[in-house]
Amino acid sequence: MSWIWVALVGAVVYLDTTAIAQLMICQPLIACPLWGIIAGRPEIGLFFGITFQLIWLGSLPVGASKFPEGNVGALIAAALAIRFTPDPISGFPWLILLAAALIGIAAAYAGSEVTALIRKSLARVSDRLIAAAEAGRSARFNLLFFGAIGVHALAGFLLTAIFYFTGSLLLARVPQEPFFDSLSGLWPALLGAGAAVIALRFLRKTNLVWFLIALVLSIGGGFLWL
Amino acid sequence: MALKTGEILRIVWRSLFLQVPLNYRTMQGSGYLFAIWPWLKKGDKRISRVRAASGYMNAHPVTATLAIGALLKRLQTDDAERDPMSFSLWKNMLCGPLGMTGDSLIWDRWKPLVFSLGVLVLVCSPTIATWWIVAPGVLLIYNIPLFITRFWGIRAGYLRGERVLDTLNLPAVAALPRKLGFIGSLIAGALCGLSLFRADDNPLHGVQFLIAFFATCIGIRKNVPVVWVLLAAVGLALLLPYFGSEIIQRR
Repeated sequence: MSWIWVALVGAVVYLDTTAIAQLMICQPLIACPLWGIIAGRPEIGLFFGITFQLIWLGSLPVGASKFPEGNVGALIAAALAIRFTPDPISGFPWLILLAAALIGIAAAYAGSEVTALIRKSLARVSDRLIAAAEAGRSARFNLLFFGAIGVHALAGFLLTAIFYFTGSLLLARVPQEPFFDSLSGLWPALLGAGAAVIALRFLRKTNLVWFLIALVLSIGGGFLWL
Repeated sequence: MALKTGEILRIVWRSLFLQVPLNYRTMQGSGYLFAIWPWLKKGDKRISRVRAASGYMNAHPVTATLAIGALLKRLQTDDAERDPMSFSLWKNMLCGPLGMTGDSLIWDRWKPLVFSLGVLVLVCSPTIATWWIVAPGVLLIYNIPLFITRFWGIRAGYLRGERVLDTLNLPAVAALPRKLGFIGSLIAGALCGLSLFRADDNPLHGVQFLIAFFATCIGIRKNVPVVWVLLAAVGLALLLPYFGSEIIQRR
């Protein structure tokens, strides 16, 4: 029954991403480690929290643009990896992590299509809302409005449930032993891709000096640390 | 007459649901209606006010509070009934500046800055004990200024009414993206340097970090869709060093 809990958290993440409040509890840095703590594998939650946070910071939910539902994708990836990680382990199950990350990315892109569908369907709800308001039917107005929240929550729930369920079927076939240490490069590779996303977001000709100063100082600090 | 604090807080609360009825026809229009519904539902001018409030509207959810305050003021002073055409044009005119200011300031600068700062701390110390400090810290740093802006936005919008866009001419609003950009570039530089070290004590991991970093930079610069950039960058980083070491061993 773990899929129900994952899907419920997925619904909350989906709601916070665009529909309600946008307090950013949906961000991978918050949601993934939190799920990891609940499920008893915080280090795997942290792995996906850090890497997916950097990667999806580049996508902006601006206006009517389609954007990957990276937050839901990150949660699905973390939940799948946690479920299929043997406990206790001597190292990270890199093949499982790689497969879960790929499923998470696929879920994020499927999510962008789901969001577009919901926005199309909400045009009719919006017409009914206006009609109820014009008629002064406050109770119907509120009912329709909270119904629209329900539509978002249901979309998040179903998106998470479907990808978690199908992902579970796929990951059940992934060999868990040995730990494919040759894939341990997944951590630096995802970190590298994420660092590039952040660098490109802030790097401008006017900022280049500041970027280089921080880069040189951090590398120097790293040498001293080592 | 200004809004009372309780009324502003109530609108702030209702504005959190602004994006619920977001659709491709009226965008956030019905969300604005929801935000000020308690003030519109009474009175004999309800129908015209509802129509005026619920048409096409789109802005960043935080800067939209300026528009909500101004909209409420103008509806209460019967501006929509007096000249519906110019009222509708005024609403459309708000979308661009409020949307662009919010998007460039919050989505493009504030959010990446705060969350990359959180990641930077966690890259230095990737433990759950650190996360328990970073997670609430990041949420508070991100949300407190935005809630203050929401509160201020409704009050300033209500006070200025039709001339609400004047608030965007404040020197601080113009200077903020540049200043945040400087701080962001410092964080990005530190993050790149420290991530390289965090790539573990295995030298191969350093190479993999650099391959993924430069492959992503090139891909995004060439406008390749992000999903392909990601897959290519991670794939190259995982595979290239092994092919490289295979070739060296054979020679």
